[in-house]
Amino acid sequence: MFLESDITALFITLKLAAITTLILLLLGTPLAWWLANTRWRYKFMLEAVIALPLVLPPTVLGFYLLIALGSNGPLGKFMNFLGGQSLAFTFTGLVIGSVIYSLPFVVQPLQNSFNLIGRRPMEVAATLRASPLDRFFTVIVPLARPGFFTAIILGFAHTVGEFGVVLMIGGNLPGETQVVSIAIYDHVESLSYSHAHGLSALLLISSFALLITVYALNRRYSFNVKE
Amino acid sequence: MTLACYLKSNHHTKKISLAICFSILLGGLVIHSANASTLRIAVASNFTHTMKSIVKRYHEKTAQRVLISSGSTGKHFAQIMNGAPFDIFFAADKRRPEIIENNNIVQPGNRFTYAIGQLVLWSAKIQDRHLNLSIFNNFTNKYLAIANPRLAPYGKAAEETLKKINAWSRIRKNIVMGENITQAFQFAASGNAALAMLAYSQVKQANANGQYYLIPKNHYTPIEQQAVILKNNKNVQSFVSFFKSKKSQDLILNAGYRLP
Amino acid sequence: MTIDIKLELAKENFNLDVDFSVPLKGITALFGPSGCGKTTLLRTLAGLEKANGTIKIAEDIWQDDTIFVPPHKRAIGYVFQEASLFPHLTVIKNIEYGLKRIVASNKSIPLKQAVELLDLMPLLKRRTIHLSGGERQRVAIARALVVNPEILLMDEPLAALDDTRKQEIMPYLESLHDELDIPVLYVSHSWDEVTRLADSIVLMEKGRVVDSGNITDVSTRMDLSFNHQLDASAIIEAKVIAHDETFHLTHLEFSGGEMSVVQKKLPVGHSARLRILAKDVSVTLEQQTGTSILNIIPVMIEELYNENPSQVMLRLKVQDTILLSRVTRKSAAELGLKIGLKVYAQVKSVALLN
Repeated sequence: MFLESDITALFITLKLAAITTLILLLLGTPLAWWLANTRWRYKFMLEAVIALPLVLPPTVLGFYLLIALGSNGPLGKFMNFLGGQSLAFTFTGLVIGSVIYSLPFVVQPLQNSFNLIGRRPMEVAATLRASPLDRFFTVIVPLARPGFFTAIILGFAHTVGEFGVVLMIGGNLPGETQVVSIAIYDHVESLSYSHAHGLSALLLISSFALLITVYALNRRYSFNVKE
Repeated sequence: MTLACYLKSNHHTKKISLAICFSILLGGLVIHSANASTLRIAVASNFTHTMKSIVKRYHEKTAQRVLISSGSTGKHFAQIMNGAPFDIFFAADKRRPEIIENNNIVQPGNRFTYAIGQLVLWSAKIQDRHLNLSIFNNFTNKYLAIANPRLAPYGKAAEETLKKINAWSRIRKNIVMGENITQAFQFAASGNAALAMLAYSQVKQANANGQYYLIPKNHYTPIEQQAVILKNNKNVQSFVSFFKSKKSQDLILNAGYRLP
Repeated sequence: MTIDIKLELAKENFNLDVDFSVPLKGITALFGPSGCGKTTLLRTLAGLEKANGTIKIAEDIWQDDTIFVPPHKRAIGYVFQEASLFPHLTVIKNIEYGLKRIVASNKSIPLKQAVELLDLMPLLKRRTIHLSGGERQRVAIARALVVNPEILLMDEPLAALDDTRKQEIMPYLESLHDELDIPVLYVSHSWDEVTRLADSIVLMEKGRVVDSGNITDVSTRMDLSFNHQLDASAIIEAKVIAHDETFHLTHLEFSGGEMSVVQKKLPVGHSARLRILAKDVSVTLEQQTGTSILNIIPVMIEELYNENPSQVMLRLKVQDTILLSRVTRKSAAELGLKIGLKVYAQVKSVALLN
């Protein structure tokens, strides 16, 4: 019923979304934490930069990434220097693009969550002998669970739906960069409507199943932040 | 508007009516509303540049307002099937025009080949030796960019060529596909792909640095680019005759196409 | 053994600039009007805010020019004004939070004792959102006690509670005083709380320490404005010596005399604090007989202070005890009251604070 290339495309997409989300959690959590706590007067500028992918059309983002990764671009030159090939048309290249593209979707919910918690819980934990890292993981993380859930859901979903960036730097390599959004698009463009319908339905169902699971977990594990 | 003028010319001298219509038309050109005298042409992306120069020549002759919609053949096709108000459709292949004709949207006889595309192998950088297909004998750690064969006739031609020289399956992992030849060009121009198989007209138009090699035409099915006349009226006919005139045909040749 | 504090910190509304010492024993109140810097001072002691200066507690240096010990390495217990319990943990888990992070020594207060002291047994498994304000504050106190603090810092722990809850917690705070060995630094803007709980007091105003000393001294000093409010009172440390079962009275002894109060269930020998309002004390030149007043104490006038055109505050002394008496200027004139005169203080009403 489904083409093998379509199933592969779905797996590539889910893999891309999962890896991107994981990287964004690792990068975004300290960033969001710093933003929530710093009193740096130019914080607003950094926040605007982080929010840029929200405003920038993904094709624009992808286009400039293509140039940057190319032999004349800064990233391309760097890769050449390391003796490697261009990152365009590679899964790694897609991950880089997706991380930039979905960054605000992870950082903002986390930052909001941290802001909501405020400084007091950390202070209390400090007076109870908890080191900074300890306090972060035993107090902030449990209290920020709703923020983490939102960040994961948004980061993951946004990457699954990514099209423009992949269009620009993907190269449509099966098993490597052919993601499901491009596959559906190509089916439509080449008038294979039944394949397009089928793959879309598959994507919808699997995404929905994932989202429901995460929302259900969210309900079970989140706590009220304010006393 | 001009039609009304011409009808009136039965009673008045053609010159005067033409003058009146001319001025009305000029006035009408200022008003941006959709009116029947605009000629709407859907053109395949790869032919757009050429079409624009043809229309420019056309405007030396007449003040006919021409609206060119450039895009992928697939999109234009879908739009036309759903009633988009184009007058002429210049496709990048002959499949879509055939389907339009077969679906009785137009009368038979309104379809013609307007250009034959030529496939080139292009590199943004000058190669050490002469660029030709033997480069695929040893092609590793590099990418070749082509248009997706499912979507673009030039992509299909590229695939045919590579299969003909028995390179397709061998270098499949090194072949990246753009949604169209423009994207394939971007991949190569940005230096991410070492080579690209593109339309000759594209390379000529871009006037980019680098080298190209015109792929022998027996390596692939001829890329017949066909047009379909969707609305047969005087304006359309007038344009089509100009299109088929020597001036325009020269332009097409110059642009890197072959003629039927 | 003291804790020596010398700190400077510029804040929005005031500049903190202090240099004083606090005994490492008993309850010391940090008292002053709102916005005078008491909370800021407490926070800098905890290391939650960073001021310039030195903090030395017994032999340990918590802060000086070269080092700054971070809050989680300071042996403090901190009770915040709004309890601030962890909402994601149950009561028992809240209390155990700090306990898990210290090495228990023979000095530390066992979990069991803290829980019993604050009556938390029935609440242990509850989620914190289901607790009342008073219950929350009790949990917060227990939580701060079990981490083996060298000093317990309390930031207006009763301020966020209504009167009923306050009355509910007072006994616990008072028992802290009696049963625990840990010094407490207690921030408050309530004179009532301070007189009930504190042994010594540090007065603050606009970021500076105005005065400090023993509670019985400070509460009777004439030059301090709050000692001239309507409820101005003297604090006396006393000890239960006997109970009168017939008339249901309890007799207490203090330095310089004895007093009787309405019977309380306190064992003989138990220390108690008495508060006597200045307006409840009148003076006579000679010892009265045939009077309904039970408590008459021979005293000497130490000071006279004109509070306003019609009233005078008398500072009366017997041995180590000070009493305050508010009389009309007319009476003072007619009786010829002056410094050094021996008179008799008639105490109409005594409040036992424990």
